[in-house]
Amino acid sequence: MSKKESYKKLFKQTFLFFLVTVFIFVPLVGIKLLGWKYSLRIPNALFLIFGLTVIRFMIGVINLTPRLRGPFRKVFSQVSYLPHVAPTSISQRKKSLLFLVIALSFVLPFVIEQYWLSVMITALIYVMLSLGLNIVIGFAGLLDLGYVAFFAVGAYGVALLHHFFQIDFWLAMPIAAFLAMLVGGLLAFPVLRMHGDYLAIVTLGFGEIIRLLLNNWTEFTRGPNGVILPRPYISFFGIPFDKNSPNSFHNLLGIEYSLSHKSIFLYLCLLLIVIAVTYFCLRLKKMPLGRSWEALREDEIACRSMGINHVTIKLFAFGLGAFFGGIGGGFFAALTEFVSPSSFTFIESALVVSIVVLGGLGSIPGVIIAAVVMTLLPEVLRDIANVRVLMFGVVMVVMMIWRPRGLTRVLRPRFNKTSK
Amino acid sequence: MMWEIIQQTVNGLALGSIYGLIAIGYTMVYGIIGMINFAHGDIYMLGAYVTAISIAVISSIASMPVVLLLSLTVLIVVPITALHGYVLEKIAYKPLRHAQKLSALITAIGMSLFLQNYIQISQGARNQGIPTLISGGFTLWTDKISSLSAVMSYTQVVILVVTLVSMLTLAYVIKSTSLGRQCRSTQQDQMMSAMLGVNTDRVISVVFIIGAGLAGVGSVLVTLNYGSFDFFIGFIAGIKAFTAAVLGGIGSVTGAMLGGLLLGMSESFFSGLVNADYKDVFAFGLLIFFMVFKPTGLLGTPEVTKV
Amino acid sequence: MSPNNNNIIEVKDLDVFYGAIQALRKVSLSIKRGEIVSLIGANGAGKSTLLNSIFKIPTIVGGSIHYNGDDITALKTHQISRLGISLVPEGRHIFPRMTVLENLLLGCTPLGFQHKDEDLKRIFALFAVLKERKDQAAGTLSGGEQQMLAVGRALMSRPKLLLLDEPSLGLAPLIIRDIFKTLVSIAKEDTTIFLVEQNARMALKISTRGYLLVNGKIEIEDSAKNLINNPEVVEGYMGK
Repeated sequence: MSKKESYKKLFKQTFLFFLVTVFIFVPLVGIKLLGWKYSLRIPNALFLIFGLTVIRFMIGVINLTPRLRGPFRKVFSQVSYLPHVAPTSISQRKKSLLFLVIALSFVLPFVIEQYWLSVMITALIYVMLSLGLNIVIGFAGLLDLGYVAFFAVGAYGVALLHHFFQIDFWLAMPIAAFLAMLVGGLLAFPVLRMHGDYLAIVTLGFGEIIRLLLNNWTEFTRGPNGVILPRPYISFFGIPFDKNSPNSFHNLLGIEYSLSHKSIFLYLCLLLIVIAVTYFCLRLKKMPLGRSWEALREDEIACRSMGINHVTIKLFAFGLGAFFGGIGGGFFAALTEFVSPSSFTFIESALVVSIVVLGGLGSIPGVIIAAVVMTLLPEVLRDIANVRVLMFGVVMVVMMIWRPRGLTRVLRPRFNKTSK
Repeated sequence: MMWEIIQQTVNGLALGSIYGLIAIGYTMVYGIIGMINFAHGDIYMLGAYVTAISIAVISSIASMPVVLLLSLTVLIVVPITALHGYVLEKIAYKPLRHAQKLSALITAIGMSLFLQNYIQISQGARNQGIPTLISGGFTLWTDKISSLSAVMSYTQVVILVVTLVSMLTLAYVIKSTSLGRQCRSTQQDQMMSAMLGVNTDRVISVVFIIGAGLAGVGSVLVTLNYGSFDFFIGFIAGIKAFTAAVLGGIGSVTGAMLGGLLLGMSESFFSGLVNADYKDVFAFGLLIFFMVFKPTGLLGTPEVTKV
Repeated sequence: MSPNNNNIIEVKDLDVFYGAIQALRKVSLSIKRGEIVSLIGANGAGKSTLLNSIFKIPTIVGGSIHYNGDDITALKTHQISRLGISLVPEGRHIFPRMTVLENLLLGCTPLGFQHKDEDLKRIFALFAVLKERKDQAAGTLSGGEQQMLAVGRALMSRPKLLLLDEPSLGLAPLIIRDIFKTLVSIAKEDTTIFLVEQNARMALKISTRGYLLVNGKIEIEDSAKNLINNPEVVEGYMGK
């Protein structure tokens, strides 16, 4: 095709693109409903229409210019990293970096303000959730869209155990986590035969059922009003953080009372648990169970014909994922000291899914980084807080098209033939 | 008692035909590319906004009889939702035609989140609504003792008639036109269809357009019936419609309509006779039940996994 | 070398890969108008790949395909059939949940529907059994009937070039003979036939020329008569 012809074609395509944007943005951006009336916001629509049309045209021009086309295609072509085999030993530099990060995270609570401390605790809770869901989606390849259910069971478990039996957090949290695991196992049974889309829909329905039960079963869960926990709820293994009680934490240590003691304690406990869970997940990858999951993810039929019991490993995946979700839920209740059904909507599940996707399905460092970034980013950039979910949506689409295996490389553990 | 049964049947039919209209989008897309178009419910939500906007704009320009107003609204809403369906496919699904199923599903969820938030930002988060356009109805039955009566509102009549007309048109297109044959052949064997000269990319676009267009019809009818909506209605409606598609057997257009009616009726009876608070739990429970025990639904063909 | 205009199709230096595995290596062949040409070879030699790559089903990495002198290497699958090329694929690939009539009508897609009644009549004359079963779901036909349907469907678009992939596969000898007879009569009506067969003897009997494909490479090109008597071909591909 001659240059003139291809430019003619580009103009035609751009014009069609322009028309499409007009019909998409004029009614929904250019006109805003106000009750039964409306107001015009044509400039907003025009901005989008012309902005996108210009971008479309530029892409067309780049594609027609040989000198620009090469590098452009290189950046935007679909890349899917194949899993790389991990090096035999971690390099010294990485080791010291890891040590530095851990040390910093232990020092962190003593230097930052109360507000940022609670943000960091939230981030850790999301790390917890993402590590749990990473087992289900990343390791075993089972797309679970109802993960928030286990989070909810953990949180409500802790809250209701206190509400009905006044059970302390340190006893209630493990019970709630096991309860979540039980619920996870319960969910696993009906979905054993399913995979892919069907599994996703059933887990989604399941998550919604849990939320609706919490919302409607008012005698047990107090319905939409939620359960309020006493403040301060969390105790130093039985020693309260209360201001006025004579044998409370600050009196025993002989230091001045501060609201942040409680948060620092919560943060440090959660950090220790997260580190333990991370280590556990890293080991899990190398264990027979981890490899069975990998086989299940790549090809269920082949996996089963190799003699792997898919029932057990699916149960383990859901159970473990739910257990970690439950722990996360317990800490969430301890942090907010109030739980209500509105904290456990589908958006929450989708958010954790998008963290796992962004981190690279199955990559543990990737997932941890993604969880921290996704929680901190909306706090840092207050202006974009209202487009947060919009950004998640865009990120999920772009990532799947552009880098379906996530931003980081997924490392397969190395197995030595001779090590026997 | 009798009046209640009649009333719930009427309500169930109206509700069910709307579920059916939305379910067709799921079932056709699933049939042809084998994936759940998660964002389909949000296309329907978007349609509700376009409905309210066009009613507001049209009635501010000129006052006209309700029939004309509604016809104009349908003529505006359906092309716009159809266009959104088309664009959705082009952006989010076409690049992933040969990718893993998991990737395509995650993209679909991403699109769904995007659309919800896009509407929330552009139209505001609060509840929106339209004035009641059609009031009144037929009295079908009056109980002699309690003098309670079962009423079929004129809106419900409109819903049933419009659904029936859309369904018959769709059935004709799929059964007897060349385009319909191409849709069916692409669904059964995409490669062979292409070798017979069927432009399968175009057929897939057409399926998205039809699905989104029917969802647009559904959103006009729902908005007419309930009058109020927000940016989140697509989620619940989407799962319900998907349940309807599964009930009827995913991939089957007749099944989707049947499943819609079945779900609408059972939901309506459940909320009327058992407990209205738990009607969504009931619907989701039905979904899980069917997924586990009869994943092929009422009219679906069993899925054979090739090794 | 410019493409020879007597050739209806000309394949030059075709390279096709499945992942890292090369299925075709620099395959070149040409077919003149009115010929019946057979492609023989063992399982996995790349015969089906060669036919399918004319329809762009596998991605073509190198080489070119010319049809009536025009380069068609860059066209898409659905555009190829509009040029007058039809393929009867291996395993028939009929649409099982559509009626026989609908299957045949789909064959009209590249041409449009102006000649459909005429063409239907022609196909029904060729395969009477299809007329009897025209309102039956195609999946309920027997193997031989399905093969007739697949051939009939391919003929609905009035192809100038008909590609057949293993038309004898899984059929009883009597039915195979019928089908081959039909092929000969089709060839007489200005349709060039390119036939892939494992049943080499049968195929070469009705052919003018033949190619032998071994491991993705054309090993021998010769007239059908010579091939039938070629000891290497007899030994390897015809049994006793």
